[in-house]
Amino acid sequence: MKIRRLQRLNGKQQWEDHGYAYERDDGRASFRYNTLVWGRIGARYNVQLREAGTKLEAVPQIIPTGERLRWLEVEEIEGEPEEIKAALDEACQIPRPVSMTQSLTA
Amino acid sequence: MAKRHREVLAKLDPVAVTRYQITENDIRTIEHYLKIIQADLERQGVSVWQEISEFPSAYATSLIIHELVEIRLLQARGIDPLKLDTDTLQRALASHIEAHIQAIYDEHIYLQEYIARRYQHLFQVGTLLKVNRDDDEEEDLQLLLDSDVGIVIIEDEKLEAARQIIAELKGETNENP
Repeated sequence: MKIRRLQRLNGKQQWEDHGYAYERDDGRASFRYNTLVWGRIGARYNVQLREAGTKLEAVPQIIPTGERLRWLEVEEIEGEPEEIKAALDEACQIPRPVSMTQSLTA
Repeated sequence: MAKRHREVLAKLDPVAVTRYQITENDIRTIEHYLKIIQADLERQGVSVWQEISEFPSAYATSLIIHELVEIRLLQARGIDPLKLDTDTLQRALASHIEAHIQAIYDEHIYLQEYIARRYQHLFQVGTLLKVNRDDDEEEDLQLLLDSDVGIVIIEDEKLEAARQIIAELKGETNENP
């Protein structure tokens, strides 16, 4: 599976994984983001990626970076796509669905 | 209070302003909150605050409701989000993800009510969220679907009609409510 990591410079001045783009079956890229931070902005970027049919290599043209955000080069990871995405979601602190009851009583 | 806060408050739907008791101070708090949590995005020239400033009345109101509900729920859990830095605030919200989920729900309950009032069309919250984010990843929709906030129904046969109305509310068509 081809992916491309997005990193952010945290308060300790260390680059950390913050999101990623991956290559879908149809060849275009899709963006996985922390919705607690990006919210509707992340959704909007995905609409732009879809409408432009953007490839992984061209993602930085749609989702720009700067001093505190950077895209790494495209990498290929071997394995089951869903397992790879689950691991990347965790590394990027992308929230997974949770029961409200569980959360409120925790 | 800054002029920009007064201007945002003035353009909001008065029904929602009354229901959520939204004040100028709330608008200021929302701007401050977004500047902390979306600090990295703001440096790239994109942010929800910018969208709040630019979108027409009803749609901007839905964004304000989302942020306000999220902030008030964090405050109700003893967190003062404005005193936190970006990293700490992001962690705090991750620890209280129910605040974000409730905010999504309230945002779309408002859109549901507004659309029913203005267009006499009733859409389920799930239908509105699906077309409002229109995102293949459907991150917010998945969070809502897997939460206990309520039964989330997506009306496939109404998606196109809902999409057109949301586009109108965003000012992407001729009408600008």
